[in-house]
Amino acid sequence: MKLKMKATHYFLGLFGILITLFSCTKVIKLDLNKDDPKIIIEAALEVDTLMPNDIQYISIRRTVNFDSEINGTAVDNATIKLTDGGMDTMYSTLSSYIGEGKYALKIKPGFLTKNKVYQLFVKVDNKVYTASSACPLHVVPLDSIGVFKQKSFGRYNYSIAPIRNETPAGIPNWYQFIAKKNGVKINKILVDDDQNLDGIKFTRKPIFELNEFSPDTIVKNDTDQPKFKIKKNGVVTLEDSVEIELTLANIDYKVYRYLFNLVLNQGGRQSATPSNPDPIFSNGALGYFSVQKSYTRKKWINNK
Amino acid sequence: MKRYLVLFVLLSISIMSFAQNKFTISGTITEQNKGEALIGVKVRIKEQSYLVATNEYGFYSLTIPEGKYILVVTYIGYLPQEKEIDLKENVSINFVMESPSEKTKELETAKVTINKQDNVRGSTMGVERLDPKAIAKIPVLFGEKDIIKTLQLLPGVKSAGEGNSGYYVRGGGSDQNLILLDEAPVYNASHLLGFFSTFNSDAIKDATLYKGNQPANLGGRLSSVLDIKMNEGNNQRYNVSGGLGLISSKLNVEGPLVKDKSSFLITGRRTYADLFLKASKDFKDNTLYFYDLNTKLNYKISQKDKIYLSGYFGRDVLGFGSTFGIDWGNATGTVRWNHIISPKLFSNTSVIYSSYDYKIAITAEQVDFTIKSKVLDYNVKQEFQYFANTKNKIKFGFNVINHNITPGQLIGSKGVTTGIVQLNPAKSIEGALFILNDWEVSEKFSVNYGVRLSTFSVLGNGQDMYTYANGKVNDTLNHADNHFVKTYPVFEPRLSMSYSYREDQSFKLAYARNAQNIHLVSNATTSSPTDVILGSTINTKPEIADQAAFGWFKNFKENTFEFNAEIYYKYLQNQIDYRNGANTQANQILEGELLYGLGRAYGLEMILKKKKGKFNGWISYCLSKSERKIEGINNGAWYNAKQDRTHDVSIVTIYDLTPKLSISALFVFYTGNAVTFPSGKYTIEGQTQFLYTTRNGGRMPNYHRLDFGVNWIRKNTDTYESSWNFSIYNAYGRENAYTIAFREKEGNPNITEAVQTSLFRWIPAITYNFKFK
Repeated sequence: MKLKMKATHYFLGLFGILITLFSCTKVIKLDLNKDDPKIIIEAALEVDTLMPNDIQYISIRRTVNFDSEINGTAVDNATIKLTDGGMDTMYSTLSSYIGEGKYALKIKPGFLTKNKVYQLFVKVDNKVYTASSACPLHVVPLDSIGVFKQKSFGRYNYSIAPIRNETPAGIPNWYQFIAKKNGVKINKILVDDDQNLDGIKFTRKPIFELNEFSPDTIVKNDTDQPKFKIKKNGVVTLEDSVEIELTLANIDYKVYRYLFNLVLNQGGRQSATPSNPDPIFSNGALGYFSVQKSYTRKKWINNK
Repeated sequence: MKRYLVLFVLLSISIMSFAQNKFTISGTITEQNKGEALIGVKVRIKEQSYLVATNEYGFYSLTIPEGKYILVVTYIGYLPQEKEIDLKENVSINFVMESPSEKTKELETAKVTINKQDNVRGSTMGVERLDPKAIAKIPVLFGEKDIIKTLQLLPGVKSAGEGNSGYYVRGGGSDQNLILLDEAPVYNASHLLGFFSTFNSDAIKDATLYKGNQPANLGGRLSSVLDIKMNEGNNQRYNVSGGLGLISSKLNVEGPLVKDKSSFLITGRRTYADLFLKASKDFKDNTLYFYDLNTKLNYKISQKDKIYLSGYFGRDVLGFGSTFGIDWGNATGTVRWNHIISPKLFSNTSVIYSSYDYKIAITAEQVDFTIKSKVLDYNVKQEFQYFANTKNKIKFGFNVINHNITPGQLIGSKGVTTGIVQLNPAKSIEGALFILNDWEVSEKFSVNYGVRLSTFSVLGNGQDMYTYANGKVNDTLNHADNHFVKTYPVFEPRLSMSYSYREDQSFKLAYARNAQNIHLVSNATTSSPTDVILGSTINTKPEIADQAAFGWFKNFKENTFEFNAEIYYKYLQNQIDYRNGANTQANQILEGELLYGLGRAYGLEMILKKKKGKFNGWISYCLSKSERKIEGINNGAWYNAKQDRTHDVSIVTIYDLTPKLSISALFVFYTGNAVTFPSGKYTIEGQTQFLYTTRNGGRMPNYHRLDFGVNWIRKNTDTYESSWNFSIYNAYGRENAYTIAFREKEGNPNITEAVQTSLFRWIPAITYNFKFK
């Protein structure tokens, strides 16, 4: 459970203090093993978008060696096929590739729905990578964003919690969150399950923290409206306000597990034996294919 | 199995049929100044091959034909004694060993006359015995003498990391070591995140490490048993001693309650690192300390009965203001009753309590919760030692342990954390029946053979138990409280033998099977007080190890030098590891995340010791390999265990400049641990991810360091003794890698870099020791 993770986090904080009393760090050069480039596919497709012109994106890239720059690894010659096992199949066309490894797939309205298993085929250099996914039948909406102020290690943090008014009891749910701060995506994988929160009416478990503010500034309120300041010359500016946008995606277990493995690989002590997650795609491709249902909310945190 | 048992009983009976007109000489051997029982004192008959050693309570028994003899009693560091006897009936003779006074040179002679190829002749192998007094001169981190850190300098025993009191024995994990303190298992033997062991060396009398080939009376872990015995306390006079160090101070008080009959001992130690924190502005609200308390009381009821009470209490307390606190510790208690049933039959009954627990409390505006976890054991052990005749010494008995494990209980009382989450507690009973015989076949050939039948029963507790298929719950069972759900018996044969083909040389051979039912499930590089302790369950079967070892032992230059070389091969079953991406945090269905498989470890260990003279010490080397093979990890192929290290070298030297001043140096080198390093990278959700290929296919950089120490006895009179101890750890300031992390370069997430963190360079320490006699 995350709460215990929190405890571990505190514990590691103390551990950190102890270590820093005696330790020193430096960047070192390591002779790491090299591996053949592998295909990475990121395909998160929304169900029930109700949009007449539904275009969804799939990104395909390659891995690079540890010392190489991470950009410039796009795959531009892939063909994509998406089927629901029935009559309907979506294909990528020549014009689908829009650069930086991204492909725009035109989806027939009503094609992607809950309660159906979809298969994705990605063909690159005559090798086909496949995966399947189904959006969970019972999805949980994001009702609002909760902001909780906390003091930890002498600083104020703002815990951001996705508030879900009900999670159906007895049905496991898996979530992925995407957070944006002032419109800029926070590059962090955030996932959650409801192992210990199943069936709880009002769930506001924090999902990430913002450590933006100095210890002595106090947030007076958080609202759905930004606060503006009108300067003497009539210019209107935002007054230390931060806009948080949070998207909650209902994902399937395979995808949750995949992303959770990546989260584990991030943390220091947690990852004595980091590993590639159990693959979702065939043929050794990395990445995930998720047919999911998302909800997005925004909130302003006004400082002072 | 029945066949073996029948064979065993027959063998035992054959031993018990002995000739007539033989009588028994028995008694206890104690030390002159303190009245402490001495372990391993040799009692022999002059110009004959009859030989016996005192047991762990100082008792000996020797049965020989009637006649006139001269008894010779010898022990390292004490003056030898001789006594003429005319044996016509059973006699009881107690000896009090005198240590030579400082001025006399007799000590050296005493050393020469004894110490007769003990290492060569005994049948046991893979055994390391440490006398806490003998390690006093070896330099250590923060000047804190530590028996476990000294053990790590011996071949086949490896430190779990920089300054760490965890250790790996012959390729096993750090949880595969059983640590017994006066027979009570200690679950978490480290303080302060592993930098100190829980054993205050001032309170310890003797420590023996069995590297997997332990005799049948010991068992319960795959890799080793560390049997630590506390001092009994001086039954002759009071004395107070202590030490003031940089990190901690200690005090030891002991004395007789009734002279010659009973004594007590209280030893305490506390760190004061938190005082330094108080001086710092940033950390002044923090708490950081640990303490230990060792207590012992013994009472000699009669010539035949003696009672010992011993207790250990230790706790670590860490706190960050009023926001966060964690404390953890062990408590053990042992009540022992020695009873001499007959001159040939010695009995010891022990009732043992052992517990380990941790508590975490977090208080903040939106959260307020505590996490509690506890392991609680009640343990009864009965052992008989039957000194059948001069050639056979039989031990038999049983051991029953009731384990109660509460893996975690989380109580929240505010905001987002309201409610209670309880992980299912587990109850079990571990049992063992054992019998062994120490058989001296001839002067050249000796055998120690035995068998241990261990059982582990999973008990119901009225709560749900799960079974799993592919990591998911596929059935839920509910068993009533204390209902026997599943019992695992394991038949563990043990054998070790020695053949001294020459007076100063021998070959030894050993085989042992060990079973382990208490598992530590940890996925971390460092030990944490919150690591999960798991008993065997309906899913997790006992871990089993079979170990065979072969050794060559030689002494030369009149026993000044001792050389031992051993090779071993160990095959492990039901080894535990996590699935990829396992959720290990307070997971109700944690076992679904576990995978089980095989292990193998093999190696060559060598040690050359110089035991006498002004210049002494040892060189130890180990070449080894340790691997695991678990379906679901590394594509089911063999991979390196994290503790796999190819080379491991320690050099320990002590030079006595004068009787009062000695200098010492210590050098350590070992191959870096096997770790998983990335072999490539990519991004998911815009965040850099690393690509991994082989599990533990990478290596940490090699580790090496040099320490120096100076030991100066300033004053030594009949009533007072004081000494100074100076040391410097990592004298040439080597930056040994403690961790290596991979991260995006600050300011340019396109580039990744490896960052090494090192601890402890040039750590000086000074300790002042005193003793009022």
